[in-house]
Amino acid sequence: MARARKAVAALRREERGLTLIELLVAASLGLLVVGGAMTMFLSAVRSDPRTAAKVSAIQQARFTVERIARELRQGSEVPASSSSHLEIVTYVKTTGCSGGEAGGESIACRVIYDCEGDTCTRAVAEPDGSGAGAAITVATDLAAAGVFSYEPDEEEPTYVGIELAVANEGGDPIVLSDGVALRNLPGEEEEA
Amino acid sequence: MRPSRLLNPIAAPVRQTVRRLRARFASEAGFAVPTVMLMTVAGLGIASVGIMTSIQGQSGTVRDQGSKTALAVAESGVSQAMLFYNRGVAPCTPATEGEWCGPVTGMSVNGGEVTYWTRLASGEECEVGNEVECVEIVSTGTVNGVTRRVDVMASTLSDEGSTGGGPFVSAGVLSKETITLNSNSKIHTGTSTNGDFELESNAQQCGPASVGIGKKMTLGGNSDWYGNADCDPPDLDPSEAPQQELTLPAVNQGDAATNNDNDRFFALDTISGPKSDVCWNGKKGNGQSTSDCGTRELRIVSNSAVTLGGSVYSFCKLTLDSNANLFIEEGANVTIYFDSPENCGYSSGVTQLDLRSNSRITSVDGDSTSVAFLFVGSETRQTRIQLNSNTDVDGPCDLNFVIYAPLTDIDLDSNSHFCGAMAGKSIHLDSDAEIWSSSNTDSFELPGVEIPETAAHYTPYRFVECVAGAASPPDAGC
Repeated sequence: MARARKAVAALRREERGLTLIELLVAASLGLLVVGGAMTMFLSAVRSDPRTAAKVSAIQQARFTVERIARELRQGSEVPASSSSHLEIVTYVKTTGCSGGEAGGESIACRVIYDCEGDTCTRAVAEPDGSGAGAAITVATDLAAAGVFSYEPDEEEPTYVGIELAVANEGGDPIVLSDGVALRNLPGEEEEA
Repeated sequence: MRPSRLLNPIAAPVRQTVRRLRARFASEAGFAVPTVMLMTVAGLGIASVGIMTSIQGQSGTVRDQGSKTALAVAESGVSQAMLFYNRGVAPCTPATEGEWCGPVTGMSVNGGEVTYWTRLASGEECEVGNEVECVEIVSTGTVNGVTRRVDVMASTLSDEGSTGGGPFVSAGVLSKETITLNSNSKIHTGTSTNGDFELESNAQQCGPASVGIGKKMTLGGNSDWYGNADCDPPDLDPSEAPQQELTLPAVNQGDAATNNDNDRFFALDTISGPKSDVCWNGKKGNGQSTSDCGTRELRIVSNSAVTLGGSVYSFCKLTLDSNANLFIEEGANVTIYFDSPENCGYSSGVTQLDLRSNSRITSVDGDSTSVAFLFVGSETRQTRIQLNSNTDVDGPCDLNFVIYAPLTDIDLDSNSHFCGAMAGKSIHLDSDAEIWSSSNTDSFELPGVEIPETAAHYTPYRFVECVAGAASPPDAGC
């Protein structure tokens, strides 16, 4: 019994000698780890709004590209084309090409996309180009006005490429690309 | 008395407290748990922020992908419906003009659901001027909850000829079942098969090609497919080989088996070279009876030649060996019918046209020469055509050499060359064998056979995308 008590006492004495140093080292390391983790956590939380804004910009650009692509896919004629300007005769769901309201059956109209500076606008006219309505902004904050590309050439394109480069604060522009084969070209069969 | 003993009433509780604190501090358990928990929470927090941001960013991409796939699926529904009409059948009832038929559940594509409706129309409703009738197809495609709907108008054009024409109008090489090319073999013309088209070991298809519905073209071992007869690049993608149904009508030999020019042998259709090396109908050219050839069998060997000048012949078998030649007289128009194995008394597996060892079938001279080998064949007994060992069935390629054998398997081997048009049950080329097209084989018409009119061919002329989701009537919102 006495021997056991002695052994326990000796053990305690040993622990006593190291406990304070262990505690200090452990506390320091703990503070370092927790501090680092907290810094990263706060950094991630702080950057979240910026990331969210970027995601939002991508979503907006994606929606715009998809909308343009849908319209171009139904195109039957490209009267004017350049990298920043595109006029296409396509089907639009409207009550009338000139000043009509959205909705109704699809009718052939001329849709005019015009990109200048950091903005792209869209206007609808009669198929012959007359009676163009008000231009509505469809894309903003663009890093480049060159949005459209054409295959096999600009004069008689069968395929139109779309590339929206959206300005990105503190980074390279966010670029979204798409492209469509024009389904309603005269004499053209349906393409995949 | 020791002083410590005097202080004992106060010092004892202090010592006890100090001892307890030391014990507490000595224990690490109390700090380990909160430290680990705090780190875990911090780690989870950081990870969740990253994951949430990533999910938010990815969700748009996933939806975008689903949207594009749904459009492709919807368009596949249009293609499926068009296929029905282009094969001359309606995909559903009623198929009467003006009424919608459907919904038809189409074949699933990319895991998406396909549903389509169709409606026949005519006249002004077709919108374009030169059509005789048109069909409106509305198709929806749904993938991962994303639905897209398209409306396509397709018309048949009035200037489209619906006459059948000859069997080689669309391609110079036709196969009812499969076409297989091996070991440097080449086809230098359009090829169409009702089955698969397989190329191996440096084989080349040089010209348009189509496979059967649901069949495929496969390229293995450095084989290639080019769009032109000269095999010039660029090569084409075999997965884009069009699929279409191929119909090869049976040979109608009429009374050719009894009413023919067979009795021209060998008084009018003369022999060049040793007459004993030619055998027809159980007799040699010198008049001796022989078992070398049976009834309606022509056998030519050893540098001999026979020149054909008649118009219709009825054979059971034709064998050329050892530099033998079969010449076609200048200006002649020769049709040789090969009777069925049943009528000739052959068992399954007979080779009815056998060309070996540098033998030739060619014209003496003259551009107007036309030679057609028409094989009746059999649905139950296999018949074969074998071109082997440097054999040539050609001449200037503007001659009209035709082998039409829809129930017979054709093999070209060992440097054999064929120039003209060829149709067989199956076609197999091996060991540098080559087929070249003839310029006028597309105008060849099968004697005694009226090829049925092809179904009206619909071509899309108006594509619009509708407001997503099915509607009533099906084209509402399009």
